[in-house]
Amino acid sequence: MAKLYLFLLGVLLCSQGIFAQTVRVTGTVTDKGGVTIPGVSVLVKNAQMGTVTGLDGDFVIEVPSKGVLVFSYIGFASKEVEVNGRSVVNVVLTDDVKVIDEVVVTAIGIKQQKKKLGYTTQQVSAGALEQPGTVNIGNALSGQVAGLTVDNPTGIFQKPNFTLRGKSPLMVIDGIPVESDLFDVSAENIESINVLKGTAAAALYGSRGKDGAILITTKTAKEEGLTVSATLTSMVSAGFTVFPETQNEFGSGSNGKYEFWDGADGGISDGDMTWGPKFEPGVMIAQWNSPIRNKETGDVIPWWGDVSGTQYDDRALYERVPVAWEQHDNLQDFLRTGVVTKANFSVASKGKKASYNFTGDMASQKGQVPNTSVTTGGLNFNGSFNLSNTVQLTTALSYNKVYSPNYPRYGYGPKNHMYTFMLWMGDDVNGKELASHMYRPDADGVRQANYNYAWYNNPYFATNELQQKHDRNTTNGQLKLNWDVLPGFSVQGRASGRLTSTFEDMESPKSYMNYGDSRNGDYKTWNEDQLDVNTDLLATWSRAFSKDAAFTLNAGSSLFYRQLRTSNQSTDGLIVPRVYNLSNSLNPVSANNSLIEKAIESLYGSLNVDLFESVFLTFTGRNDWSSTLSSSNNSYFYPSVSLSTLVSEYVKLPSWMDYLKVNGAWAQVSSDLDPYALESTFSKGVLYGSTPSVTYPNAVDGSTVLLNPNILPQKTTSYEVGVSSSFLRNRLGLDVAYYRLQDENSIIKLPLSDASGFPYRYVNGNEYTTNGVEVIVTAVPVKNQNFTWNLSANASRSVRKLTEIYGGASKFGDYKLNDRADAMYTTVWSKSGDGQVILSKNTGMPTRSAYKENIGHQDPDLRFGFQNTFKVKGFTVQIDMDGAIGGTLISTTTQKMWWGGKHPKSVMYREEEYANGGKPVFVPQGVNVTGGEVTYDLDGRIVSDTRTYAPNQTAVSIQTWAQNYPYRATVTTDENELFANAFDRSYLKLRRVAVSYDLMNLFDSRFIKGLDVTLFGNNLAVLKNTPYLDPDFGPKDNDLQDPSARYVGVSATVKF
Amino acid sequence: MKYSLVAGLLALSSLSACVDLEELNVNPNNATQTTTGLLLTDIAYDAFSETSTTPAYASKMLVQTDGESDAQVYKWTRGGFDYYNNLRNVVKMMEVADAQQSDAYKAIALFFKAHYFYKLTLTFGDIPYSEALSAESQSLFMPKYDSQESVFEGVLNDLAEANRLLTNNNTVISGDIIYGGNVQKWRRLVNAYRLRVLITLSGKQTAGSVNVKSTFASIVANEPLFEGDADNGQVVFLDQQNNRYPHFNSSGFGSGMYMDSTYIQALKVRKDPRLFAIATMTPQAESAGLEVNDFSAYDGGDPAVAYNLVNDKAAAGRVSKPNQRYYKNATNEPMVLMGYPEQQLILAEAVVRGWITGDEKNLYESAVRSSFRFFETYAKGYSAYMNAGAADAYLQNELVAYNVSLPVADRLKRIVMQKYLPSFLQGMWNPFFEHLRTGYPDFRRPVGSSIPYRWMYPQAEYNNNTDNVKSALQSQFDGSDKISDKTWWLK
Repeated sequence: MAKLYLFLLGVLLCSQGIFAQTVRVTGTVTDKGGVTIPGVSVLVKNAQMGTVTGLDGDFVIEVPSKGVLVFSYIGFASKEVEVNGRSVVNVVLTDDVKVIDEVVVTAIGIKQQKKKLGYTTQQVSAGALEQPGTVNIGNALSGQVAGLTVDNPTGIFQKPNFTLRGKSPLMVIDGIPVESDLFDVSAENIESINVLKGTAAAALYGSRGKDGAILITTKTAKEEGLTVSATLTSMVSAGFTVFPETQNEFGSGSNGKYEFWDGADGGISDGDMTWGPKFEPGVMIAQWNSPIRNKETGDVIPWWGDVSGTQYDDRALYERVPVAWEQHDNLQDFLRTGVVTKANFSVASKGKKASYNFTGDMASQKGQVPNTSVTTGGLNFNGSFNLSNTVQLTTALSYNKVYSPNYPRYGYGPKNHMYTFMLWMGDDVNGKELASHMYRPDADGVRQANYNYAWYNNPYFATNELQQKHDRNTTNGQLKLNWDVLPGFSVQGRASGRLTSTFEDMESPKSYMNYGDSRNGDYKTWNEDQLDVNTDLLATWSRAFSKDAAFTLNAGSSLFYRQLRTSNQSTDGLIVPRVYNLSNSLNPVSANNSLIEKAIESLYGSLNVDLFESVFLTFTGRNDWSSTLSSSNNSYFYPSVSLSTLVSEYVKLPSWMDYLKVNGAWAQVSSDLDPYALESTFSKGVLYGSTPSVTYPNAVDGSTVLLNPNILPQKTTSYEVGVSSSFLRNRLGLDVAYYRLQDENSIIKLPLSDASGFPYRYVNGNEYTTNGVEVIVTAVPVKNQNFTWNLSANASRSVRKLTEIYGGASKFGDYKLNDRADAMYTTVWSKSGDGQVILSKNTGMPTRSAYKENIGHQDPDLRFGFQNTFKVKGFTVQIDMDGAIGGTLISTTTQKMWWGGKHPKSVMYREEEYANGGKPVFVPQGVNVTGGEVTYDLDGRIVSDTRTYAPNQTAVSIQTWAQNYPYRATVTTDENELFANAFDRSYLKLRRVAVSYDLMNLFDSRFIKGLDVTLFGNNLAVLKNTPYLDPDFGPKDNDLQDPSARYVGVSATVKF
Repeated sequence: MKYSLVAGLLALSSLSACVDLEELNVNPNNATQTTTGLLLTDIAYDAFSETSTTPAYASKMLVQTDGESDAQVYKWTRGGFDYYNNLRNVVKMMEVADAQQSDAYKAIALFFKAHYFYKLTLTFGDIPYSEALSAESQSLFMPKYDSQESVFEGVLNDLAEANRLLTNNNTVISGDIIYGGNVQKWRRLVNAYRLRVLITLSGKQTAGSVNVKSTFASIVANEPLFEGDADNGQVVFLDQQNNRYPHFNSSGFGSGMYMDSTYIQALKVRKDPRLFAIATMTPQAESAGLEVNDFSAYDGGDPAVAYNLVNDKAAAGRVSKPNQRYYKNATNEPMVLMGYPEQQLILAEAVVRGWITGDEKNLYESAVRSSFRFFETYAKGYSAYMNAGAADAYLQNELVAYNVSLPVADRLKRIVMQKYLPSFLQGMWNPFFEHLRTGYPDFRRPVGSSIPYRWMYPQAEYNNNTDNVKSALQSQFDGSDKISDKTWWLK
């Protein structure tokens, strides 16, 4: 890396002072009406020279005598003028309606002018893609697109999750649908990302595009001649935006007492919990790292861990020597600085006959968790060749690798370091000793040294000794042939294949603990090969009858075929420690494999009609035949119609309005099942000794479902209207879209009475209605010679409701008619008629209600994002923020922190109680029932209630209270602010700040065309209501997120 | 050249003609047909290996100290209908057995059907029975509820039918991990199980058309029963993936779980050496160097007080935990669905009740001796305390010794206690239901709480089988659904 920097520096220095012959040019810039325009950018094409017009619209510039000047100003079409030795160049700029004339890529690669689109699409700004905060480009889309939600997990190699208008969009790369977590897509190779939001927009993708699509277009050669560029980016973590706070006053144990013997309740409360003694100078307690003393001889030997199976496991003869009871900052000590480095190199050439683009890139991330890293990289080639005047061949070939020698295990359980640090390890445990003594002195490779042997792993042992590897190779090839048969008539054929081969393995050391996993060492391997083949044929016929009438007809067919082969194998215990090989299995190796195939055949067509240059009508139709449905139901048709009209073309608008576009769309899409979901099969049951068995039926879609061979495709009907306009010569732009999606005939797993023999069956039923609004505002609040401020803001709201239930029933599982689809039905505490928690008079304890309650909805009421770009002199400053308002999160983290005694507030009353001889002092707020009875109907509604109450006066041990009330049922902030475990998910995040400067403003060079340097920071700050967590992570926190790190970095791009 | 390229692409695009869509959707990974033997193995493993620590809290064998155990303080709400999922495979086995006209498998399927419905009806009261499990065969998705009495009648009839089908049947069945293919042993299990169901109805004269007492007597007189330890209906665990003792490596044993003082006390006062194989010595006793067979080395936590007090006692090193073999020995002991000792105790009780005649003392003692042999065989390291001599000595203990001259209540108590004492982590809720039936042993509980008679129906029934559950509640409890509602068998 250092060598590359040196090389670049050398190039930079050598290239100084080389000038071509120049002339001095002056001139004035005016609009059509002759009014001079100040602030117009005047640049020399393909060079780093430029100026800006003054207050009178005049400029002076040195230009190579054969140079070309480029004039650009917002609201006007940019204009190129050849100097041709002239010394005076006066220029008239014409109005620009560029925004809507812009061509965007739409479904199946058809390019369209934005003004002709009857549905909503949104292009992601290029700036956002340039410095993503991680090795995954997906994170860069956060807050960029109205209606697109990106959940950003905080850990290394955790993939971002996308939802578009509440559903999962299709990912499309260069016109080909792909399944990708985006780790295998090179960020620097992306030219643009366009999001097709509506059902109508993606209707041509058939069932796969029913939830919208994210279209990724990779870079091709743009500029004539040869362009070579390289980018280097480095980022490091710099503190935390969110770091979980835990109490640091009390250590391991229970009821204020602790003593280690076997780490499984053999000592004094040494099996679990952080409700032990207070950290105070002079306190000495036997701990896991205490030396062992022979009570008779007084001999002392150092020891780490328990003594089971050794001579010392005799409490009559041996004891552990008490050591100092001190607090340690274990999580801070454990985490290291995360580092991300990225390098990218590209060569592009464009000529008359052929053009190509070749890119190589590599990115690597060193995780904050010790011994974790991910490296991604790839080679991408695309080229296009004009075989004749009418035939063009385009090819693309890419190879990407994603490799992680070891990455952390997330989720709830002892496999996750955060589970140990955040929830279950007291600060008394000396983390540095855990790091330096991963194994017990007598049992290297066999038994970990730890403070606990019931539930937890030594986290250093876990991250260093357990290795889980991911090794993925993705090869993608594409061939496209376009033949302009006649003017206005062309045929295009395309074929692509994408093969993703993944190998994963996991080496688990002996004594590693993960609930039911083998504790005798383990080696597992997983292989997966996924092949996707897409071929299509498309004929296009365009004809303009006059200036006022034109049409384009597209017709095509396609085939999609997928093959997924998997196999996995695992040992059952290891014979020799640390030898991770299937042949080292103590018991028979278990293995299985599967083959899954699917195909969809399709015919499709579209008709675009353009009338009077202001009315644009599009009809599309597609018919799919899917392999996953029965032959009588496997054909389904998707129609769509959309209309876009430029009102400004036929209605006289006020002069401050640049244009007004109104659009509307209607579409219907359908979708099929997973493969093999029509006929039930038997799956493998227990293998007892060597006796095999089967069980019925094989799970489908993760559960036991009574299948339905006659299931029909499900259908979504969408309506969408939109208005888009711009004002004051594009100083202000507004886009508003309203949509309504109706999911009918949904393929649902209808919950059944278990007594019927099946918990679910597949039916077509239920209707879900989604209503949503998206608003995008673009503005240029400030613009003058030295300072421009561009603002882009978006906001969206989407609500999905259950508007009809199968068979006219009143409930669907816990959901009632007209419930939001993201309603949260959860177990709550029994309450009095007026909402007070009912506590037992004898024990002071609450009782869980047998009836679940809807405590809110998961999705936010509103999501928003702001992107600001400031241009000051040669500097470009970008500030991006995004966030959400509303939505609820039930926090597993908070529940377990209370239970285990790590919650920062769990320190209260402890000392008072211990000082009181262990007698409880905390009297929880609530009522005791003093008489009467309550009866409920089946929906949990009170039918009759004669209960009488008295305020609770029974004290409860604070530990007992914390282990029950805030843990075993949902408590909202309205019910109890202090003990709440369900929170408002609102947040505002400072996503990114970037400052860029082109160093070539300072130098001049014949070889170097540009040298952009950017300093940036990602995930910088957050305002939120949910404690201890980053709500940007997503709705589920039982993954126990890593502390949310702030990253700062620098990137440099040089262009030759 | 360009034309050939175009032609090539055209050919590629029309590949579709080569793909047979229907063919493609045939699952190559799993079978659509099976045999009874393959089904039996999985069904038997599931049914026989069933265990849970939850009933041990309700039956006063364990106490929890890291949260309030709903079972321990009798605050539970709803039960689950999960057994219907086990029954799905049983129904499948019956279908295949019918198709193959295999009486042996049909009989065994009837046994499992009876087993699960017996447990279900004890849990709730009325349950879907006659219309249950018909989603696939008859598209019946909302099965009506049958009265508890008719479920008992059906269970007894199914078991009688199983016995009939197995009479003079010498088929050697495959996939039998319980009795190695010996259907006559299955027949003994079926009949012993009939005795269990009938003794459960000791408070009733009849269940539908079945006369409890005379049916019992007729089985004892005419049908083969367990003849000894070798007939135990049990699954032996193997040290192999998915075949290990279900609590092996269970983290729960390492924290928050202690022995209940009333259980320890019940074993201690009887000088029952099985205690040594069930619980650990207290840490205090261990530090003091006490011997394993010193009864004073064992103690438990009070199940009726706030659990921080149990924590305090544990912190003082005065509370035993479950013996480490339950979670550190991969094979530990077999799980017994029904064993010889239980049958002998049922027979003894029937003699006491005058349903049959026999040597009740001998029956009682043979049960205790068999149980000791079980511990002697499987509780590694403790066999010396459980040999025949130890059983003899134990049977002399004044609280254990059986004498026909004792009052009926005392004899019943001794019989039920000998079912209860060795049932740690065995038999699921049987000790709890035995308590509901007989009152033995007394279950200590917090002031103000009472012992429930049942569980509320699952929420899913409210949601998905509303009308039927509503009418079942109406006919049983006047519409309420409470754990304090008494069901038919207890009335």
